[in-house]
Amino acid sequence: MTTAEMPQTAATTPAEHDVLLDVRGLKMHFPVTSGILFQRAVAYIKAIDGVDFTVRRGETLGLVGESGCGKTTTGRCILRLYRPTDGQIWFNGVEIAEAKTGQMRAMRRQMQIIFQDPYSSLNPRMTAGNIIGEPLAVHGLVNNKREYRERVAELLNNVGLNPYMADRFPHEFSGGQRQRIGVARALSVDPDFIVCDEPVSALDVSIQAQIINLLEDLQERYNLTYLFIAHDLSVVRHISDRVAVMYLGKIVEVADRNAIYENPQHPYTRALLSAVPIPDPVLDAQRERIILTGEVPSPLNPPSGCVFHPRCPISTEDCSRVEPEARNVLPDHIAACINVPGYGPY
Amino acid sequence: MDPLLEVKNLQTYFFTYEGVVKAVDDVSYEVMPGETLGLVGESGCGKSVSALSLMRLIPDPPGKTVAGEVLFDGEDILQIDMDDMRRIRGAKMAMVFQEPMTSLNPVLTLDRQLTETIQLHMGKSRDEARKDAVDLLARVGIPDPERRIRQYPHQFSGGMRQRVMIAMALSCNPQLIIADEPTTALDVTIQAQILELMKSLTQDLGVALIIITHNLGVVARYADRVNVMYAGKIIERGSAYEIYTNPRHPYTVGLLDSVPRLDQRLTDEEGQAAKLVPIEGQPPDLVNLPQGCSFRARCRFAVDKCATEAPPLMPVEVNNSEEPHVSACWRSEILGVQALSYAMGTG
Repeated sequence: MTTAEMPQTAATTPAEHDVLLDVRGLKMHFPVTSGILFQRAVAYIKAIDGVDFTVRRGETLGLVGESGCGKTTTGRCILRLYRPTDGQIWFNGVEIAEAKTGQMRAMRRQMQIIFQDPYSSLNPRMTAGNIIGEPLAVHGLVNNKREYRERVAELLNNVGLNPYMADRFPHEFSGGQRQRIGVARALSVDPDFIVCDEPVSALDVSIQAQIINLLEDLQERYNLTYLFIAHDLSVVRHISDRVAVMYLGKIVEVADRNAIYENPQHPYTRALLSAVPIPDPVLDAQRERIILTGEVPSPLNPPSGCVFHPRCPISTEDCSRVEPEARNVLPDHIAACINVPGYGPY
Repeated sequence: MDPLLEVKNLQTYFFTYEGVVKAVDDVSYEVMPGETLGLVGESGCGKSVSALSLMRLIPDPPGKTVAGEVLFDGEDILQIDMDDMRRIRGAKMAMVFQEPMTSLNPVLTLDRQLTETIQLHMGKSRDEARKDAVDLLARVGIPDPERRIRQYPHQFSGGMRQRVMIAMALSCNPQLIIADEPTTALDVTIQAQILELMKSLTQDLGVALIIITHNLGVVARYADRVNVMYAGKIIERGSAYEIYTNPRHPYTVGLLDSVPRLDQRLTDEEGQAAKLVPIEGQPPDLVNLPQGCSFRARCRFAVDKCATEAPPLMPVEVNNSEEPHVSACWRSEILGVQALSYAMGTG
C-alpha cells in the first residue's frame, strides 16, 4: 500500500471521530460451480455487493437486516474468515483485505468474534477452560501453566462464571452460560474490536438480557468496539450507538441510533421497523404498519437499479434503472434512495 | 357462549432415565369460538407439549398424558380411540408447525400433500380436491397457484412454505388452528405478512386460533387473551390488554422488563443509558421441581409462604377488562402497588 491509497477519513467523517474500522467498497461474491472434474463458476452469489461503512473507536455499530442480506458475511470478511472479492478493509490504519494469512493471524489478537450458536461453536471435547485458554497459548500471551490457569480463572470471573467451572465440558452448561464462554474466549486475547454475530438470538428472552448487559459492561470496562450483527431490531436499538441497515448485499441506511429509529428515511428501514410488534397492545395498535409484499430476491440475480424497488411502496420508474448512491439525506444520516429528499452528497 | 375447547387439569409427563419430566403439570384453559388465544413462555416451559397433547401427538413412550380432560365441542378427545381422533385431526382442529422447512414431505409435490387431507376428510374426488387446493393456495397469497401446486417443497421459500402450511391447516374448514411458533423461523417482514394473513383468514372464517410463541410483541399484536406459562404451569391469564398493562405475576413482569422494546426509553432521568433488567438465574429443572412456587428461586418478591405452598391461579383484585384476570402468585397485590407507584412517577 502506498500513502496515496491511505484512507482519507477526514473527507468522509468528521475529524473528531476516531475511526477504528473503515470498510470501503467491500464485495464478496461466492461462485456457483458446475462440472464434475473441472469445476467452473457458472454464476456468482453477490452476498455483499459494494458496502461502505466506518466503525468509530469505542462505539457499537449495529448491523441489521433480514436473513441472507449479507450481514454475517460482512462480519466474516472483516475478520478475514473469507477473502473478499473486492474492496478495502482498513483496521487501525492497516489494510487487511489483502493481508497474508500470517499477518492476519497476528491481527486477530486485536479483533475477535462471538458466534451466534453457543451449541455448535464450542468444541464438545474440550473443557471450558481449554476453550477459553487456547488463544492464550496460540498467541503466546502466557509464560507458564500457572499464569495460564490464573488468566482463565480471571476470564471466567469477568463473564460471570465460577473459576471451578473451567474443568467442565460444554454440554454441562446452559445456553446462556455457553454464550458466556464464547464471550470469555473472545476476550482472552484482550482485543480492541469484537464482531458479535447474533450473540443472543439463540437464547431465551429472559437470558438474552443477561448477555446484553454483560456485553455492555465489558465494553465499558475494556473500552471495546463492537460490530453488533443481529436481525432483532429491538436488541440492536438497545445496544448500538449507530445503526447500519442492510438489504440484499447493500447498506441502505446508516445513521445515529436515535435518528434511525425515530426518523427512518429509507422505505425499507421504515417497513422493517413497522413490522416489529411491540409488547403493548394499546401503543402497538396506534403505530403505522407497512406490510411489504413479496420476498427478498435471490442474490444470484438481484433486481436492476435499486435492489429494493420490486417491494418498495414508493418506487418510481427510475428506481429500476438507476442504482441509488448512498448520500447524506440529513446531516450524518446516510441513505441510498433516489426518492428521499436529499441533503448533500456522500 | 360455550367454549369450543376446554382443557381441564391436563398433565403430560415424560418418563426418562433421569426421572419424570413434568412438562405440562395441571394446566386448564378454554378457547372460545373464533378467538385468538396466545400461549407465551420460554423454551421448555411446556407450551408446545401442551399443544401436542391436545392433538394427541405426544410420542409414547417416553411421553404420556397421564391425567386431564380435553373437551372439544363437549367431547373428551383424550378418551376416544385413535381412529376417531384421526377424523378430528386436520378436519376439526389443525396445526401449523414452527419449521416450515421440515414439516412438509420433501419427496411429494404440494398437490399430493394438500389433496390428501381434502380427499380423506371431505370425501371429495381427486379433481375436486385439486381445485380446492388451488383455491386455497390463491387464498393464502401464493402467486400462480396452478403451476406452483405441481412443485416440491424445496422450490418454495420459508415464508411461502409457511403459507402452504396455513393452506393445509385451513383445507378442511377446521374450527380450531393451533399455530406452534408459526413465525419463529421467519424474517420480520415475512413474519408480519404471515401473521396478518393468519389473523385475517381466521377472522373471515371464524376459526379459533391458539398462537404459541415466546415473542411477547407478536402476542400483544394478535391475541385477544393470553396465557403465560412457566415450568409446566399457567401462571397468569387475562386479556392481552391486562397482561401488558397490569401484569400481576413476577415472571410476567420480569419477562416484559427483560426484552428490549422499540418504544423503550433509552436513558434514565440522569441521562445514563438504561439497562435491561434480566430475570436472574435459570428456569428450574422439570425433573426436580422445587416445592412451593417454581419461580421462587428467581423471584424478588418471594416470602416464606412461597417455599411451602404452590400458589393456585387467583383473581387479581384490580382488573380493567371484562375478561377474568388470574395470577398464580401469593403477592400479586404487591405488584399492583408497584405498577401504580411507577405509573404515578413515585416508584
